[in-house]
Amino acid sequence: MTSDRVVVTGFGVASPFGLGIDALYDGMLAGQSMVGELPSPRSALAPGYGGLVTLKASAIRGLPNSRDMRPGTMTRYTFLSTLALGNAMEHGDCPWDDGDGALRRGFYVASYTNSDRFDKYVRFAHHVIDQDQDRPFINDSEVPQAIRKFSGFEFLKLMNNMPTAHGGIQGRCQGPCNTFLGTPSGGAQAIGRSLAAIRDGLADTMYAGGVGSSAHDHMMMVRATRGLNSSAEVAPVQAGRPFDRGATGIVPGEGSAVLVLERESTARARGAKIYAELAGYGEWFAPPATREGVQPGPEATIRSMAAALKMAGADSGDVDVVAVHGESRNDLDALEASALAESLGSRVSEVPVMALAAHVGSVEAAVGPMGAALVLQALETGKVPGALNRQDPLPEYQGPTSSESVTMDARLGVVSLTTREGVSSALVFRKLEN
Amino acid sequence: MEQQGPAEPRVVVTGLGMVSAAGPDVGSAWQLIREGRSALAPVELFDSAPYGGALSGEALHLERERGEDRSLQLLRLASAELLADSGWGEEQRGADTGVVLGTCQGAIENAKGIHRSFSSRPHTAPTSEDRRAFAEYRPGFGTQFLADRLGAEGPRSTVGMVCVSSSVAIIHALDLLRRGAARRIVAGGFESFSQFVFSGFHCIGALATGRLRPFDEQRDGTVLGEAAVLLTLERLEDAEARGAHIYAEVLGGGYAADAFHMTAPDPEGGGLERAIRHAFADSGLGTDDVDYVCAHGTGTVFNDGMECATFGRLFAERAASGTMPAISSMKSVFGHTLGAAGALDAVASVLALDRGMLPPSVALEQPIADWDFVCGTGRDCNGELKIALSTNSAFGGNNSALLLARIQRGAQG
Repeated sequence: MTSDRVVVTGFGVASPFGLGIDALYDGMLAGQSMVGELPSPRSALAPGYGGLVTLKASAIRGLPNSRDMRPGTMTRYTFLSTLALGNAMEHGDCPWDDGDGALRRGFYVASYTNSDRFDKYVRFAHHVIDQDQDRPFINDSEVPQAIRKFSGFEFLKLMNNMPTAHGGIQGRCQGPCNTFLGTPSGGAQAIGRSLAAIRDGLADTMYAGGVGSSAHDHMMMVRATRGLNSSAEVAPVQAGRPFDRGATGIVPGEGSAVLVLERESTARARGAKIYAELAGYGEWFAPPATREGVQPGPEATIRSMAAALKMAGADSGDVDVVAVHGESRNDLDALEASALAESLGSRVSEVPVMALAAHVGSVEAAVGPMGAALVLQALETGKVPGALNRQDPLPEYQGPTSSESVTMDARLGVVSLTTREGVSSALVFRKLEN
Repeated sequence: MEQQGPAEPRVVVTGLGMVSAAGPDVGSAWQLIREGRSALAPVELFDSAPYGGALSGEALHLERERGEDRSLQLLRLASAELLADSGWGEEQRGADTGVVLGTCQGAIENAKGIHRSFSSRPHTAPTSEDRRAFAEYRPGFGTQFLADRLGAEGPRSTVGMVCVSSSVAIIHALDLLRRGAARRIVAGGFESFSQFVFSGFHCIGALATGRLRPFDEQRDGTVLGEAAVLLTLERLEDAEARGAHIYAEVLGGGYAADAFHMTAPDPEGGGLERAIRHAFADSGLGTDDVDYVCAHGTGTVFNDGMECATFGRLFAERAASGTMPAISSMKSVFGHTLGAAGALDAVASVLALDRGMLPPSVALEQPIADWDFVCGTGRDCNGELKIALSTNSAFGGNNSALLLARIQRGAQG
């Protein structure tokens, strides 16, 4: 195990505001929401709006070591992940053509799933009507013909490790690479496990992040059957309402973020700008609620934040700013708000709480890494966006509700996530004196 | 890797659960392995004639049930065996017990169901069947499902690394146990046989035209299977304290990427070699210590060639002296179970160590190298089998390696 601190030397973001942290952060400081009407045919599915990343495929071309990356061989998840990794490499001025340096570099990324193109397969496979039940179903006898209309890449790009595979090539990562699936906490887990990988000597540099694309048919259908989508009756820019009584459900969104994590000695040796120390990580697990509902109480989130702060040698009195999940559904938001109140104690009313969902919608496994990018930017700039669409807070929410951004000398920031799957995680970033 | 030598706390395997084409339990799987028989049979799930006919490793003994995804059905049965084999009681429930699973596509068959109601009529009210199918669809659901069945409230994580998913899950579990995040973790993987994945493998030309023949000159592709494979990992001191049967010790693991091509392996196997070297460093072992390699051995031209290039380089001195470790692949017995493959190979290795018998590759007639490939039936080792290396590789250039050791009877620890 190394005694070196692990530091953040770059972070990349792809969001509906554009490429890079500045686009996202400036938009949030201005109180903007990028949730808008979805183009057809997505608009056929409720709620008909969402926060889409509108960057063209060509946006990849200008990023480091991305000349040979082919967006046509990527799912939406892989494309967004590739954008964020390239942006992070650029932001951190990271080497990629450094010979054996690749052996000491890894990539952990999280995604909820990677099957956004499954609808294409199903369309090819033809629907027929089951006369007995008057329900459409897939005609399995057509599947062989359907799959022939897929190229090999059409199939392979649906594999869940493809964001990692593309990223490994783009970032020239020949060390540990992994994909974490199935929970919005996955991105924070990827960052936390990367911290461990560096401390355990598995790598000197880790790219770590997450990607979310909840605005495609597949995930919108998944949420619709469970009654989780937001209402089609509200104005898109007002739909994302973390901790607000008026929230109607999850707003489809897209985004991705990747952090560059390095041993402090490695970073200083190459003269990298150090944004902050990744000082702590904690995760805790509520009893699994397998099919419906949420975890029974806020304890998992309270414990995960406490564990992260303990690892960082800090306590709740040191916390200057927080980024949270803020799903925009009252049941989960109430739990998260209760956990914040318990964890921050008397300071809960003054610590700014950043919640992405109001600005870009639900970004699934990217919410942790994008939240980390927000915290890092707050530490860097001393500016924190105000709360958007939080005028009528839930009784459990005791944090700030002002829409005005604030200026502060932020030294320590926390990312804290509460999830429907019962997996809570927390990250602690501390600004270093250079 | 900086670490050298076995890490503390020591971690051992104290329970197994496995549902596969061989049968509903570990016993039926081991019997087939010992006898050198293959469970592969013509595809039953759908009409494979349009594909030119093919074999599969379906769990045909297990009737497909309506109302539950196939992958969860496999997991449910494997977990029942695991619980009984591990000798767990109420005291093993709670926050000290975790679950880390790997899968390639999770409940992929449910994905078809997703479109059954919505593609034509997107605004109709969902049925209870829709809600179930959608809830189960995401790849992380299997982990949640298993944790619920086991009463496991500790660390939960789902690894999606295609064919190395469950071996990486075992390595993650080992890491979590070493750092004290839990006292026991159920690790493994699951995968159901599906027409969608079969079709995909067919369209990339990766399926065998006949038998699956790992490391054979005549190999021409793989055969897909299905399985749920689970291992109980716990700290040695805990296992000894409760008098559990200890199958083997998990000495170390490693994984590394090729960063070569998004689908094709590095033909020289650079990533696989690094994964194995990481596992050696993690466990304090070296190439001379390995008695048996349970290789990935998918039966494809590229994978088996890459693995042999790696083993030839890694064990060069032993090859020159005619003392190569024994090598075999389980794919010809069970088929390629994708997200469950790493755990299946780990269980085969664990059983080999526990029972002192090397598992054979089936249908291996013309080996591609003059090494000690185990073929025919299981080979009795007379107590000489002490260390097993289990390796896996995946589309996307991801590779993993696990090192497992026999525990001496009466001298555990």
